[in-house]
Amino acid sequence: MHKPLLLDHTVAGTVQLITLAGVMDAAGIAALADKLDQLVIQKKVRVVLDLSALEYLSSAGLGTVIGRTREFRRQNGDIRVGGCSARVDAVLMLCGFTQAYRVYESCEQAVKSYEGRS
Amino acid sequence: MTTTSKGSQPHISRGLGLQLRFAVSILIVIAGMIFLVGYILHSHMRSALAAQLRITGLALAKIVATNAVEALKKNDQLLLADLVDKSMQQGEGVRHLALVDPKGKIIAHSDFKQEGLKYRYPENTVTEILGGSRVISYAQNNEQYLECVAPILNKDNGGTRQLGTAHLLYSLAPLDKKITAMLSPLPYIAGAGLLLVVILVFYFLGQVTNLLNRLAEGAEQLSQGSLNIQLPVKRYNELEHAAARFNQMVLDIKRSQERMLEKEKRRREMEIAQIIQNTLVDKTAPRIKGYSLGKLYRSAQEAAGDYCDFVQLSKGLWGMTVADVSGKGILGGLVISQVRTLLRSTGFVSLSPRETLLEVERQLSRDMHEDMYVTISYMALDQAKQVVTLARAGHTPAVVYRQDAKQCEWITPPGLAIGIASSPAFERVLGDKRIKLGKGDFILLYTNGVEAAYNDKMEYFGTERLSACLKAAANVSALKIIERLEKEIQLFTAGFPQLDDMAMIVVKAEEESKA
Repeated sequence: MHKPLLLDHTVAGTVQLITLAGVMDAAGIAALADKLDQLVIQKKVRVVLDLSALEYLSSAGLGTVIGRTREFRRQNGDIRVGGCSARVDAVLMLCGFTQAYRVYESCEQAVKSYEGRS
Repeated sequence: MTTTSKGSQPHISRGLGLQLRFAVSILIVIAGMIFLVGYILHSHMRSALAAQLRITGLALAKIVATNAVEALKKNDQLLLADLVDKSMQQGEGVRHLALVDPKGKIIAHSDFKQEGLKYRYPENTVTEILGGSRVISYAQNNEQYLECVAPILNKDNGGTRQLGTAHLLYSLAPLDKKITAMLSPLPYIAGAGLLLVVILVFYFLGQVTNLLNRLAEGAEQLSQGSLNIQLPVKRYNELEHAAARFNQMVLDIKRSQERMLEKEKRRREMEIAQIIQNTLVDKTAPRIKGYSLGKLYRSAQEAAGDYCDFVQLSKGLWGMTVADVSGKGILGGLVISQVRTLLRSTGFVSLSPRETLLEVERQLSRDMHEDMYVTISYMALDQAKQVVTLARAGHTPAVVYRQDAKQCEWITPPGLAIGIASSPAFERVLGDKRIKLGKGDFILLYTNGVEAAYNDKMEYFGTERLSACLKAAANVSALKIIERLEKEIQLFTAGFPQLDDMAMIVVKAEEESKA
């Protein structure tokens, strides 16, 4: 079987850093959706997703990220991608995600992008 | 507490009954132990006091015997009586004192009426000889007696002559009274101890039975199908840990049942979606003169979110599409259905693939769920001119194989996926591309499940293998190209379960353009 999704959650100041590694299959999508939904409930709506160790991102997985980003933005927050693997980058580029959402080269840059916001 | 369970379940006695039974059992055991300890203690004390009495009695008898020598020699009855009286006063617990001559006749006695009589013992005496003295034990009228006898010896002119014996009789009854007095606090101490034991038994056993009652009630609710039970956990200890474990078990069962229900729901949903999918996807490609066409659709799981289609827009004009919806199940199937309907209806009105996709986006984005998006490659084939116009809404690039150059070109017209950005942004970015086909040239439209096919080493098929496969199959028909590509992918993945669906179409120009 393929590698399951590994999800790690750390905090950098007011920013929630979620690192994803492995393959985002159906179970991984559910885990990510649960995590993001918990953060919305806790009003922790500044999120950075580290996708640099993610080997495969399905369209359903990306759909989950897009849907939750809209929800976070309604709550005056955001989900920003800080670094992604070459494969994931190609997926994001092709579907136009990089043109509509914030994607940074590294997590540090993505975390810094929240600075200056109240 | 006694409860009656519903249905055919038996009566269950629990709670206080168990406490009472346990308390009574403990009481009996402890009372027995206290009685045994008291008995042993009493016996030991009696033996010790009797031994002490024997020593004291013998010593006093010897003193009396010594003091009686002179009086006996003088045969002074008054002196003897005085000696007996004084000795009786000194000896605590002495029942009688007698001085007896060698023939057994009582010379002096604390009960003067006995004087002149023969000194007698009752039957069944036990005699212990200690040097010249004796200790005689016997029972009479349910009373225990101890008699210390010392010889009255006259030592003179180098010889010793026995003048008689001194008899000191003790009753052991005072000893028993003394022991009873010494042990008298014991029943109170034992009673207090027993009371404490009963209280502790009721307290601790009460906790146990309380827990058992809670567990029993929880189990009863559980057996009736209620999975929302959570027993109160008062504080953390070994007993409450059992209640906490019960709660955890109920939660685990609940989660497990929810997962099973969700799985079943998902399975049924996938079945319905599969039915929708089957009605939407034609199994075969149409025939177009001068071209060979091939299509393939494989779902990774029960139902897919991919779609491919050919449709004749007008005479000599064909619409061809490959799409991928970011969701599966019924919702994904319904979106696919919408895409199919919109493409087919709009394609007839507008001959431009870009205009067609703009209209599809306008209609689709209104109702689409916010965590769904659709990527589409849509192209219109002018049969006579052998020209394809391609528009791409965020979909994987199209591959064009050029027969003369023996090379693959990756065509990526600008475009965003539908549902990812606003309609104005979609319109602003979306472009199209005209592609002229020569004889032997072909176009492949595919979903990302093709190049993202994985093997067990987590290597993916990728664009290089795809390109090599297309080049190798360049001289066969579109259908054969698809078959070879599918076979290559199967060889590469070697049965490893796939993560994504796979859909593709190939259009190959089999003739030179006449236009």
